[in-house]
Amino acid sequence: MKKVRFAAPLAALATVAVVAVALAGTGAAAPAKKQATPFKAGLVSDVGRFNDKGFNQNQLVGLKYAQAHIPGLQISALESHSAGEYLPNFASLARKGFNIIIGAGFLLANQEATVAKQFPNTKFAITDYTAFIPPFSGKLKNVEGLTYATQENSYLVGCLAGLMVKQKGGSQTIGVVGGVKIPPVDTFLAGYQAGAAKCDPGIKVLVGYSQDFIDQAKCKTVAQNQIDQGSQVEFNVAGPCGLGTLDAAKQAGIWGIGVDVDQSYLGSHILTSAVKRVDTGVYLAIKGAQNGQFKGGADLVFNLKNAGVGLGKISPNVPASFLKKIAGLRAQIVAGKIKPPTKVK
Amino acid sequence: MARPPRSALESPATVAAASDTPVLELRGITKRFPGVLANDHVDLDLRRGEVHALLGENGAGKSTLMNILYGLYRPDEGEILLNGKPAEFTSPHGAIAAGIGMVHQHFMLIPVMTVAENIVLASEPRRNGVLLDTAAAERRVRELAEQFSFHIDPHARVQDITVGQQQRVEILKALYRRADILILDEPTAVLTPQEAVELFEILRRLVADGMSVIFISHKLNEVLDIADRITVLRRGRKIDTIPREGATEAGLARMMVGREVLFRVDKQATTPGGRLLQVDDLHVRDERGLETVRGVSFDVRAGEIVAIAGVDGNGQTQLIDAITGLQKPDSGHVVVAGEDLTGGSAHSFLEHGVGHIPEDRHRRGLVLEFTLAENLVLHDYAKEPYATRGFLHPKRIVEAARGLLKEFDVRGGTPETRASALSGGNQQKVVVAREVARDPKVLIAAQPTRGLDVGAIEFVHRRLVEERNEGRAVLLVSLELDEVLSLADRILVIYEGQIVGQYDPSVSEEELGIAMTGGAREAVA
Amino acid sequence: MSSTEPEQPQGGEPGGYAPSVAERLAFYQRAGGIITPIITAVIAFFMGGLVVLATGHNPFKTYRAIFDGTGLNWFFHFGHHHITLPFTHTRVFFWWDTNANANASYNLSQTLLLTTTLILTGLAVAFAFRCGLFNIGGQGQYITGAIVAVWVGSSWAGMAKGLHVFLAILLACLAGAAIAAVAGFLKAAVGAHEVITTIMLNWIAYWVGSYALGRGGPLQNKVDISVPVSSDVVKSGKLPTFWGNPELQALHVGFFIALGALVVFWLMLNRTTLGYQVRAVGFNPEAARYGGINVARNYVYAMAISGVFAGLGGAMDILGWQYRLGVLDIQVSNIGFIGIAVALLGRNTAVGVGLAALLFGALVNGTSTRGLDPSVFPPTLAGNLTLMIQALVLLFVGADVLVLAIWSSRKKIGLGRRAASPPSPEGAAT
Repeated sequence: MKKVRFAAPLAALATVAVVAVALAGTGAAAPAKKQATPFKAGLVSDVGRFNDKGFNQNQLVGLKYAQAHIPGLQISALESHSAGEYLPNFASLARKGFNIIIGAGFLLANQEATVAKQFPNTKFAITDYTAFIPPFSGKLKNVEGLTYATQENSYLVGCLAGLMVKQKGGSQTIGVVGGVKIPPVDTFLAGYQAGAAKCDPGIKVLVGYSQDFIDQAKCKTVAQNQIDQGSQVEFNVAGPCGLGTLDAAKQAGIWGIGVDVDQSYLGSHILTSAVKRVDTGVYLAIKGAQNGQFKGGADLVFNLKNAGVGLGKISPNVPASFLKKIAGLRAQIVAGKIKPPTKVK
Repeated sequence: MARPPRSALESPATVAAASDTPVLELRGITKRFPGVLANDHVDLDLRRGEVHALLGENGAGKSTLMNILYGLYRPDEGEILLNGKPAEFTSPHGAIAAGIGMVHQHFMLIPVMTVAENIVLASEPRRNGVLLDTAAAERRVRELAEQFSFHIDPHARVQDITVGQQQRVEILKALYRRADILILDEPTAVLTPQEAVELFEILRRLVADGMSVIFISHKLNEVLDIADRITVLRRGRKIDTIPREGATEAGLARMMVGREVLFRVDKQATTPGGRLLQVDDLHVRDERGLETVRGVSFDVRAGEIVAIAGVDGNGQTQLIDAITGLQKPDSGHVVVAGEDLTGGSAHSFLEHGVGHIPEDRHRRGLVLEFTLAENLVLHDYAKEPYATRGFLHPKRIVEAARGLLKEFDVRGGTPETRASALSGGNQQKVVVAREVARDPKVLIAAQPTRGLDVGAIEFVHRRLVEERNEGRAVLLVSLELDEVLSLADRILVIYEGQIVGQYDPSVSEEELGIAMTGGAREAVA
Repeated sequence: MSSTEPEQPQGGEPGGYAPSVAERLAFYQRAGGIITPIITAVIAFFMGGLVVLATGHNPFKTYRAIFDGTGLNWFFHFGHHHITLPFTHTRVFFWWDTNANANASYNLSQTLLLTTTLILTGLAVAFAFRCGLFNIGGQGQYITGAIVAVWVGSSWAGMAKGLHVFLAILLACLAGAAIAAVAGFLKAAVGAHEVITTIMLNWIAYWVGSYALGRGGPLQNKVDISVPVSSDVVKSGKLPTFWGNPELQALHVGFFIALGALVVFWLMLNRTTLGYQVRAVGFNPEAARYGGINVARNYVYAMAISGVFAGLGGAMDILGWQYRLGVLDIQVSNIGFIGIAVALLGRNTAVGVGLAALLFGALVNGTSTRGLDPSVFPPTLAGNLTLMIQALVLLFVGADVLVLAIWSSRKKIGLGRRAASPPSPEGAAT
């Protein structure tokens, strides 16, 4: 677990090199203007707390990154030990005049909406949640959803998986195990399908759902079924449950692809990871709010272009030509020439 | 109390003091506890080779005095002289090193260890410095046991031997540590009469060997039996020290209590009425599943006291439990005032007029954390006038208690006092008050005077006879022969779960004693 | 006995008989009185201060921040103030500023929200304790009550407001009673130890709740199936609030229900025949049996009543401010366990539980990261500081018999010193 903890901040730098989009460059481009009243940004954790070595912790990393890179920024990170603390935490930051307050995920949606109604002049954002569905429904003009275009990075990993299978020959089959059939999961799957088909036409993509995000055994079973059907790459889209997917891949001696964070620490069988950069999201949301680019009642979408999604460490066994191919596709997506689908076929 | 069974055991001669200097002298010992003056300038001298009895009611300060001597407490004033030299014990270790051994009422033994291991504990013979030399320990214990003719197996585990033998282990422990002064704190309280006789034989051998014994007791007969001199304490003060010669039970009782005490209860003959309690072929098992009551039948009529005499552990406990609803019998019948209550709950027995003075007032008779008022309504708390539709009337409960405490002469507490704050005698009076005040048809009294001093015993006896005179059926279960003889109208002897004989109160102690130990079994069968 | 001399109390002479553990505890409870719990709390805070010091922070400033975070400073806004008289526009002098610090009043209302629940989970432990049962299952009973409250409160819409709230509370209480009574029944029927069974029942409540509220579970909301949270309690199922902005987790009338529960607890124990039975069984089951009390039945009753308190606590949280229940809420909740500490520190008495609940409520709320300036305390440290101080109080609550033992041995040593002045060769020999 310790590795995960460092994986996130390290990945923040490593990805920069790999994907060739200069995050630091964007940061440096920001004009460092002095303000009379300091800009204040707050982050409220869910009950997983900031030492969860994952979702909450990565967002705290983003907040600290913002503090380091946005001159004069004041930050406050409030931890919630129980659901009873969500609302007081939001309200307390709003009362103290924070300019933007970010809720660390869907668990806080209801309380965030309640507080946002009470403090219409304060900007709110919520990680990995769209402002178009309840409790916000697009009507709360001071709440911004922070969503991730995971079909884009999934398209790239799908292509990479296709290239590897094509090179190896044999069964032209790959698999993906999702948690539950819900939009945030399906965007990964759709991109993966499309990317694979793009780089290995005629490839077969097996799609399975474990109906669980926690129980590793369930994902492992689904993955093993797919491997039995000839799958040569297994993509995990089921959080902690998906560790079972990757374990099945390791045991079968095939490739595995990680999700959300860089899971290359799991071993040399990890081809790469489809990374969702919640730290970048927090940073960019704060920066946008400060620059007057706050999208109240709508979503701030993180994609390959703004480095909100990306790839983790790519296995050194991947040929350089493949990397070049991936870089080319990335450029096309960033340029808007390719639009990966969000609906599973 | 009746005469002690002295005839067969009379020691050949009282050992005279070997020298003029007492082996131990206490001068002006004073000890205060918050609110209590436990010892008030107490003097005591112990001569070599004597048994010195320390006599007093419960709470007279005997145990405090001995705990001071044994180094458990410090005196606020006064001094201790050992062989004429001042001594001061900061802990029992000091006392032990100075040759003082103490046998407490509650033994300080480790049940899972053997007799020998217990005896050598804390002063084990060692082999090569660290290993316990078991063989040497057992050898030395065996030598000691033989020297004083203790019949005890050094290999036996303490948990497997009788209470009397455990007490001997405690005494051996003191001897092993080369004690020449032995303090025994109410040693007979836990013993059967036969075991008490054996203990006295051992004590006589010890003093003949030059040992000195302090014998703490509140039982007059055994003090007169064993002691050479007797010191009486009352309320923390020493009343007097007198030689055994010329001392009488009446005289000692007067010194202890501070007034005349009646030993025989005045009892007019009555004509028993109808049968209020009938027990028919009752069979009961104990918690281990052994049948300890094996076909007991008897009845108790209105206006009579029937006593069940027997050595402890012959089925009395299970018999009482079965006829008070605390335990279900295997078979047989219990009929109270014409109604068959066999197998009913304790509650139904109470409702049908069974009063029960239990043998253990701490375990069963009282909720020690409750106030006296609460204890006095233990059976009737849910009834008018104490409660209406589930709600208590604390004022009525307290008022009722006030009356009962006065009527039964309970001292040392108000209705709001916790039961644990009372002395044993007064606690027992509370139990008696509760059971008698319910106006039961049948009153079952199990060892009602256990652990009580003479004043309290007299009170309980008088009440039992009064209840009988008022037409209740009284069943007395007792281990004390003189209690049985002085109270009962009829005596049943129980042995190994069966009634082995019925006697008139004019029976001799010897005959009863033989019956209680199984001698009369054949005669009845 | 015809003597007219007043008899001295004789409980003072030791060695009469060996007291049981329960008697000794009862003795400590009496002897310690209010002093021991206070010493306990003070030592815990002192130790906590040392740890704060060790992390390089000023313990006084930290405790000041915690105190301000509790909102208890709201009571200390004395001075020269003016308030508006009700129904007029006249402003008059008043010695106490009632709205000087909106933050303090908000913090206080949050502290009292926690106190409300802690009173109830504390009583759940205390009531069973008085019957001689150690109810570790307050957490499970609380969760059960919360699940039922959220089910009733979020469905059954369209019911009259008063009736809806009442039914939700009633059914939550009954559910808490039912799950607790299982442990009482197992104790009564087969002698299964209640510590074991209540712990097992905690897990049953935990997993049943996780299933019912989890993805695809029967109580999961229908709006966003990716979120394992229940539907919201409808308006008619919510308890009225009386202090603070109703939209911002204001203090609800459940606070008075909890205070009422303290009174009911006291009345039930001391003024009803059931309470008499429960106490008798708690102190001495054998004597209770002898007294004609059905001991087994009292185990079931006492556990069920404990469950009512805990289930009520769950209902208060759901209907009072939370309005919804998620899988994670169940999985991270520990308010039932804090209830054990509340009961122990409060000595299982009504007044004690009330005060201890306030202390723990204040502690939990005061040590939230809101109160501890994030620029001074990194949020991760502040979060752990919270848990550490709570843990220390718990530890010392558990050890307060030890505190008392040290206290009394100090007295003994004091006496010893006085008598030990002359040297004692015998004593020194060993």
